[in-house]
Amino acid sequence: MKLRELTVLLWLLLNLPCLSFEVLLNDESIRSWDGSLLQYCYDLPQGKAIPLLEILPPVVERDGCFLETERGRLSDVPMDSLLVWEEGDWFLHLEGEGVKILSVAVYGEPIDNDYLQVWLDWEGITALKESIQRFSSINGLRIETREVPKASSKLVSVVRARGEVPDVIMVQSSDISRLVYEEAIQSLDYIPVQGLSGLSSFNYEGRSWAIPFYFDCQLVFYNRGLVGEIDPGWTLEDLENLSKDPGSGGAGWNIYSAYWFIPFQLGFGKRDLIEDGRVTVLDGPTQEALGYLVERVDDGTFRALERDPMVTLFASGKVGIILSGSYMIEQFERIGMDFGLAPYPEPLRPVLDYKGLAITRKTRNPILARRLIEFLTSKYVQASFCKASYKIPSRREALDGMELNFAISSSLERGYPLPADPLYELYKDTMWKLIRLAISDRLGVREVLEKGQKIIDENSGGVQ
Amino acid sequence: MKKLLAIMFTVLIAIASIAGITVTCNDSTFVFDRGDFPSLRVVTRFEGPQPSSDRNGSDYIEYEAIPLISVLEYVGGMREGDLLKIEADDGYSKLFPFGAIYGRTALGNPYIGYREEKPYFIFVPDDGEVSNEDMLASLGEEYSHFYDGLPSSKGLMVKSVSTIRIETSRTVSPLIMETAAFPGPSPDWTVEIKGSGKKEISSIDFEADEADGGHYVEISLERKGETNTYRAIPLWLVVAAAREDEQKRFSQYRELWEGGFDITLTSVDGYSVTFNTLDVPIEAIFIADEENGEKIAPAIVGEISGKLWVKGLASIELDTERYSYEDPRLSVSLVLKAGGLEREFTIADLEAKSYYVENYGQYITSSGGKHGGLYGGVELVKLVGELVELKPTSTIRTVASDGYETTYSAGEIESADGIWIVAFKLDGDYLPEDPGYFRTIKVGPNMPAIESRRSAKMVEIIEVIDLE
Repeated sequence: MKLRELTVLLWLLLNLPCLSFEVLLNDESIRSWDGSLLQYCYDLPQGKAIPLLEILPPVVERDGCFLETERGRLSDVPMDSLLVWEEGDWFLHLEGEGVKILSVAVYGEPIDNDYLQVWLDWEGITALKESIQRFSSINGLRIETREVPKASSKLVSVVRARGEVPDVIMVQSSDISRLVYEEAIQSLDYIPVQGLSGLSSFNYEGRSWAIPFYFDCQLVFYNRGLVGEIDPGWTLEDLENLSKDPGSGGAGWNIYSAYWFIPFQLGFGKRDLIEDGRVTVLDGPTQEALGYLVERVDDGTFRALERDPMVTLFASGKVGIILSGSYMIEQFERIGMDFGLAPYPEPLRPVLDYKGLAITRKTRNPILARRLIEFLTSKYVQASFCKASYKIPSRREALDGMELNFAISSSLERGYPLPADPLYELYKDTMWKLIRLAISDRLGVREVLEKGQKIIDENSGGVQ
Repeated sequence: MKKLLAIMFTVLIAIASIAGITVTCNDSTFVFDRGDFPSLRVVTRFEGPQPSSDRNGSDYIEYEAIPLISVLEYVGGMREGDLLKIEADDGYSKLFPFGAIYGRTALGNPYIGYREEKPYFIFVPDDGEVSNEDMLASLGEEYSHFYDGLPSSKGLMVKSVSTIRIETSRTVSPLIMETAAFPGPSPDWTVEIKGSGKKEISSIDFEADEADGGHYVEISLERKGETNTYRAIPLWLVVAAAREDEQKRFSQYRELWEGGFDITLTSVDGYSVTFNTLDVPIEAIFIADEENGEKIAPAIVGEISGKLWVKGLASIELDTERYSYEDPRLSVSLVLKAGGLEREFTIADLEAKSYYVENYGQYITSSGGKHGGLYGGVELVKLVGELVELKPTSTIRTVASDGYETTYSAGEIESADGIWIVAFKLDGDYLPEDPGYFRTIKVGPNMPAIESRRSAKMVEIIEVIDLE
């Protein structure tokens, strides 16, 4: 045997155990996975593992998927079945049993374009980029992620200027009506959404315009050093009493903001912000809620604080209780604060603020865009992203697998998802200025609400 | 009593001022508060009714003014064909076409000007005077103001503005709201065609074509291992027939297709895909209405990528003019040199950067003339950061197309009273060729003023020089 043949044989012997299984697309080998797949795995109770879905090559439509195992060929394997690394080999875990995988074969038309551009916004971008990078690396794709503040406004500008649009964009419920109006995004009625919450946040005119990805919820943050522990079953009266206690530092939040006013409206008996296609602010619950806040600010029980001073005062221990979003948890943890979380006191209903993924109408690659969204909203990707970025996943299975703070889990039960209806924007823009007039006693509560109702009524015709 | 009335009056004025102006466009509303916008001091005057060449101008009046265009952006801005209605609290109103607000006519730029705490809608032309001649030339008779049959530009000024309303015929496309049955057979279907003369094609058109022995073809296509037979018409013929210029359509359409333009196909279920005709051979793509002898909802079929097989076709959008619409200034470029590296950025590249900003800036000439507005551009420090980190000892040199050089120390660039940008937009439009596509300027909400010699124009090269 010549030296060259010996070298090849030695190389094969060394590598054979590592060439654990092959991935075939239409009977052609497109890649082999060995230990190199470990970098994409999750640490799960079963060990280092990855769901089958994540290693399947994206195709236009999957016509078939088969797994060759040491016990024969398997079809109809659930996509969330785990591939687990055990002693140098990959095993498919099915019904509590592991079976060694030899190859994974997928049949379907390959996607003819491997490029996507994705526009990202809001917190958690680093973790989200990592998730997208995983999808890109596993499948050998070119996915460009761009951090674009106010991405929806930018998309509208690009659409109007007839520029090249991205394929996927992150959106929030209040973006939807404008993006639909500008014909910037496409309806995603064709994408299955079983198991996802927050669908109403992206449903507009009876169609679905984005797939819910994660959400933030409104919470009570308190300084343990000043307040001690808060009983999660507390009430609004308890909040008042705690805030009146001079040692607690008092409670303060952005009382001027419509966003933080909604829980009070709902808590004082309002059923929904938009009732029978109309926004009503001149009603009993709204008047009672606003009257309550005006009185409590006037008598010094609560402090009206804009966001920045609120955060500064809370972080410096000068305010003991604030109302803020779950997105602030990371910031307070980073500065080493000893703080606790409580759900909103009864009967208030916290707002759930969903972020979703939309596909642009003029994308050149809608299939790959859809596959990326399916990947990002799958159970393990969502759980991993949300854990890293203090978000709450829209997929219930991912949520079930997370150890959520009780304040968050109980908030979800009575939370109110923001609607995608443009009437909400009209409500928010109108009330934004008017609440301030009431809180600062420049106008009476009834006067403010009458004025607000007039503005809303005059303008809601155009909106609808 | 008088004192009480005076107090009440003052309170009412204060409330009106606090409550702000409502700005609306049919899907959004914004309550405008002057405190949220940077303002400028402007001077303007209007002309009264004028039977002859005698002038009847009012006095020049100074206002603290906010550019109206920046306010309108909060409700999405105006588009060609829209009208802007300015309403006063006493019911007086004036209507202005798009061109008068965005078009830089002889009327100048529109502003909300404040005088004695009252908001006025005003125009501020370059010469500071809104003459009747300017009005007629800019607005025509339809939107000009007349008093006793005589032109009077004074009527364009609206006092105590309460509402600014964009009146638009824009509506959400009915296509998107459609919830037609899909994908079952649909004997009476229509497909909307956008970007062409004819607005739709229907099953009736297809039947008529068949009766004429027209363009139907029978094709067999294999997909997912199955071969199906379709009766279909080539997409390009359908689209060409929808164009208004029928004489030219067929002979020139192939040329147009081969020149490359975008087509967007949308299904009734919302699925939408765009392709360029350069990527799809003209003979390869069809609209079918029959599969294996059975009528089907219109569908795109062919020897094409699976992503283009659109079932339940609802609309075809042609963007034949897109490439000619693209502003050529978007491809103008700027060269950045630093640390031995060199990179070229087009305006399109720069506008897509996350550090693209829009804010107010101005420069003052040696004769005291002020020039400025809402500049758009990229932060200089972050642009340089694409190649190197700006050190305290660094100097930035700009080189203009005529060779003129301007240098800035790092300290000057990082000053606290504003942000230095490389601007390529002013008041929403790209800077013109004369005096140059790029200009350095300092911007901020308080409209920082710099000497004109520090605002380098016609910039072509930006170079970072590190002094050790």
